[in-house]
Amino acid sequence: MSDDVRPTIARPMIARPTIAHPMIALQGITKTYPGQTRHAVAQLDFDVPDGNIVMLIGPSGCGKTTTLKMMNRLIEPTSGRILLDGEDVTGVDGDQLRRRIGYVIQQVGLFPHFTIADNIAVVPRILGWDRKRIDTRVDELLHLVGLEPRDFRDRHPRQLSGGQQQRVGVARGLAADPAVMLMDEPFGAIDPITRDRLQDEFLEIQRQIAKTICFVTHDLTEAVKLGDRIAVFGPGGVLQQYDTPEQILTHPANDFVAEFVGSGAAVRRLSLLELSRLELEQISVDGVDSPNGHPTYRADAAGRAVAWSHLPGVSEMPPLVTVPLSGTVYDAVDVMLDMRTPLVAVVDHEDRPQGALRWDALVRELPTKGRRP
Amino acid sequence: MTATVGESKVARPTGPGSTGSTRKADRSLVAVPIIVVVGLGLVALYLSTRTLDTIERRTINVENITARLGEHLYLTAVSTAIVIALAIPLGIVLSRPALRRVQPGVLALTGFLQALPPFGVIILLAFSPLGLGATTAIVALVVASFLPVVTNTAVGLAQVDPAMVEAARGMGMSSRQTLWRVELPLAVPVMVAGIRVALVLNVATATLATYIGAGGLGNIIDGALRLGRPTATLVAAALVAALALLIDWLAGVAEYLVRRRSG
Amino acid sequence: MGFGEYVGSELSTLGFYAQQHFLLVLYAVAAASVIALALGVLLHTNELTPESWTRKMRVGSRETALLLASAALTVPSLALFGLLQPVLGIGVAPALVGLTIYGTYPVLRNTVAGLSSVDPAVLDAARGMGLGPVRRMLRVQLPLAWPVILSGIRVATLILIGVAVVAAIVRGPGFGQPLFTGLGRLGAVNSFNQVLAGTLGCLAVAAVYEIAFFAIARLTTPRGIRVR
Repeated sequence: MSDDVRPTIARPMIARPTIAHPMIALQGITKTYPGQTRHAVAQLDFDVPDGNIVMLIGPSGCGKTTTLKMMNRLIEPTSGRILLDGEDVTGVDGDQLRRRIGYVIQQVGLFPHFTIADNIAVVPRILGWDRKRIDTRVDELLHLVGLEPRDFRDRHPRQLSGGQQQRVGVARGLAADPAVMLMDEPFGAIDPITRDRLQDEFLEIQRQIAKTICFVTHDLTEAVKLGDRIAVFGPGGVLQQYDTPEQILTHPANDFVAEFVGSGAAVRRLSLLELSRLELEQISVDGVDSPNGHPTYRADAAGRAVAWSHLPGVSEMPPLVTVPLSGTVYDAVDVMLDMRTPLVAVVDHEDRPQGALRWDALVRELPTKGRRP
Repeated sequence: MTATVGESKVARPTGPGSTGSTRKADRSLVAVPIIVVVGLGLVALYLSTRTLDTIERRTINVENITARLGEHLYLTAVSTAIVIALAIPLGIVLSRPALRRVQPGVLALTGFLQALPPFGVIILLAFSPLGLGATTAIVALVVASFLPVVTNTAVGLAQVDPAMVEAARGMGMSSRQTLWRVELPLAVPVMVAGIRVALVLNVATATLATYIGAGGLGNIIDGALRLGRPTATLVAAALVAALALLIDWLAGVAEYLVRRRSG
Repeated sequence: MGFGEYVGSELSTLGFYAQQHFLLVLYAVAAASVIALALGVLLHTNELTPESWTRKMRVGSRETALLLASAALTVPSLALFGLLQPVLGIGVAPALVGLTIYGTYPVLRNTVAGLSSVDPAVLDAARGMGLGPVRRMLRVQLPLAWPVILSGIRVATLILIGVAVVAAIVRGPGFGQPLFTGLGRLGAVNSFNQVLAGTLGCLAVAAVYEIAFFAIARLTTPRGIRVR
């Protein structure tokens, strides 16, 4: 069934020569559930680059969870090959394989009869680590996920809030220091405020541990926020586009992705795009550089922008308005409309200007840069 | 003999009362008659290979079996009717807000009293002024099967969604009207399950009535055992087992119909 | 002679009956529990039933086992002992076998209920971490199902204490013996006391078991899943 689809849509998107060393590689994977004629996943070739967070997204029933669960063979593929760090693991013992791969799920699934420490120690114990090493590892991981070991080690799961439980879930997934983590909507059942905080912490953790992570989500905001790459799945488990968040948002490969990403509303995309990801227009402090076409601004003693001093082609200076780097393009547009100004200065967390964003640029094309240069 | 006495308690951890899936009930309703027919068939087959001696024929004959069966059914029916008449009101009273606090204690006691041997109760009552005979047996049966019905009535009423009761009261129904029109109809499936347990208990305990001269099918088993006639023992025991299974099956059908009607 | 006086004078005999009764029930419950647990675990774990079995066969075999066990419990005890007597004769053997048959259903039912009440997410997580079927059963499913299984064993025990009395019809040990003798001497000196002692003796045995079960439940329920 995929013959007519693959060459036109899937193939060009996935043949990405930039992936030098895939940590996970799915080759020609098909899954057909018994008693069903439709494929859950059809002829999928998929590489997850080492050290990246890859987000699998798509409407329900699109095979994203099936794809994830085939990576640790919780679901066995009907055909195709799975490679982990270059090794063909399609036929190895499934339980042995899963001990090498972290696994975190939405419902967390902590063992209610185990303490937090015992929950984290499950895989290291099976792997026969000695006690001291396990204890050290447990404390280290609890620290990593922001739970004080002294307070949490001996508690039981039901004494923890949902957010705390999922922190433990992540720690448990990381316990045996696997190179790969599979996460199935880990923050899906958590309230929005806590979810936001967990996502931030998760990114911070990833900066420290640099795992290869496959992450299923149904939330586009989450996919854009966390992903180095996003894989958009369509009906019948066909991969529609596999690219960076910026490319997905600004250059959807086809109508399906376009509709999935924006539902036709270009404005929605703006709210998904953080300013930090944009290639901003260069600006400089008044007097430091000669105004050779860059906008310049006057700064106070702390280096904070006070007012525009020169804008190429503009005689009457608009008020200087700032937007934080952590804001989205949507925030910038909102401020521009509100203050009736054609540009904003984007500032870092110490209010020092990092660049400018012009109204014109929005209408033309947003120049984006790589996520982690 | 205690039939599914444990059922309401056994099922508690996953879901209160006997509100198990109807689909499962469906299947057992088909299977039980098959078990009974096959079992009786095997006994008949066995009988056809042997000739009964005179002593055996004295107990294993149509007239005797019919008479004992009649006694057995009489004891069962009367005692079950009395239990229903007494235990359901008591269960309702126990579920009223004023008495709800004592309910857990009563339920725990019920579990404990399962260990009280019905046989002991029957014999003890024979020492009472009632003496030997059917009346004593009926009283003993009532005592022995009383608690499951009380328990299930109370549990059935307790598990009615409080929101329903509140809604009924909010619409201006009196507490009496709420009980009759909302709580009891919703509790009926669990109550019927309790009655089924009592019925099966009564069929079982009635086999012991013979020891205080109240007759019943136990008479044939006891007689055969005393005479050391394995064939007669087997036949009589098989008959009693078949009767118990069939009555439980009939009660199961009734329970299934009630549950299906009340959704 | 008053009841208290009777108990005082017959203390050693009654103690002997109590011990017999206690042990008979203990052995029967132990046997029933082993059978029911093994059956329940085998029928529950898909991985442990033959690969060739379809889902329908797995569910079907589980339901058939439950149905047969519950049918066995429906058969009146007098009839069951009557059915066993021609095969096993009289004495401890038919008593023990009969009680074991009775005790199986409550344990089996709760084993199946307990095992299937384990949160699927916990099992998914266990599988995802690489716990094989045996480890999952021993480390996760059985410990989590244990309180439910234990309550099934308790119910079986209480039922068997009552039923064990009837085992005296096939000369089984325990409090059934004084009941039958008392019945046979109806009206004779102390016959009432004998029957009363036998009946209350059952409750005494039940009380001992209840205390034991309370203690076992406290000691064996993992702290993380204990109520309160």
